[in-house]
Amino acid sequence: MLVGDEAYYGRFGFKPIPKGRATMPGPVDYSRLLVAELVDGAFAEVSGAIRPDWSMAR
Amino acid sequence: MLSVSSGLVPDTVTRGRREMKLLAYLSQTPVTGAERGSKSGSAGTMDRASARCYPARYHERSLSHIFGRNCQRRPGDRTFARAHVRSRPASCSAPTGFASSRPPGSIVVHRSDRHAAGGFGAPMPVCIGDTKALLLGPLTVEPPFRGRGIGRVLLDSCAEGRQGEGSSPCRAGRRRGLLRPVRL
Repeated sequence: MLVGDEAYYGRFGFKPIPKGRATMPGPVDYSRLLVAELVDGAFAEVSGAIRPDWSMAR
Repeated sequence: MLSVSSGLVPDTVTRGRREMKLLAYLSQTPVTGAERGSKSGSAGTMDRASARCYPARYHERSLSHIFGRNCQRRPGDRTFARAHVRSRPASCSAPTGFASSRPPGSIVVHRSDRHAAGGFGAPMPVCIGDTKALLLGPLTVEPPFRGRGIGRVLLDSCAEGRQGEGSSPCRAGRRRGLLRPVRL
């Protein structure tokens, strides 16, 4: 996922996250919050708050 | 202050609390250039402080790159002499500004005359709810090099890294497989 321009990142398979599905910790334009599925349908059931993945912290 | 208050809110008796706040805000002295400079400096300090709330130094660095502090071209970016996408090795010592100004895993495209053309920050591992994901960016391409597909090369490199790395995608940018010639 990333925060960017859909007109640009759409060609790489990024689609906007439906509003309300995911929340960022800080202020963000939710129409620019995009996600690309590496596996088809991987994002279908996903929702919730976006937070750091603490298991990856060193 | 008097001129502002009398101009905007003539009736001093019926003012509500919100109006008083607005009035207090409007009656502040305007911010001069020097003050504005110091104000932005203090905002930067606040960013760092909030980033330090996280326990790991890794996240402090990641957050600062998400907030765009590493977007600008720096003198150290002109270090490498060949045109390719290059990832910084994790154990790279930092003899130049380049190595210390980019988080590990980030990718930089640079030209043969050693001008940085673009870059891609290290992907940050995040969770959406309980599902693992990667937060990408920032992707930057220097204005003279725009419209030549550099952004696509950077994104493709990142995608290849994700698929090759499997369960540890945050190390994607460090793979030697990302080295790839770019026509500038």
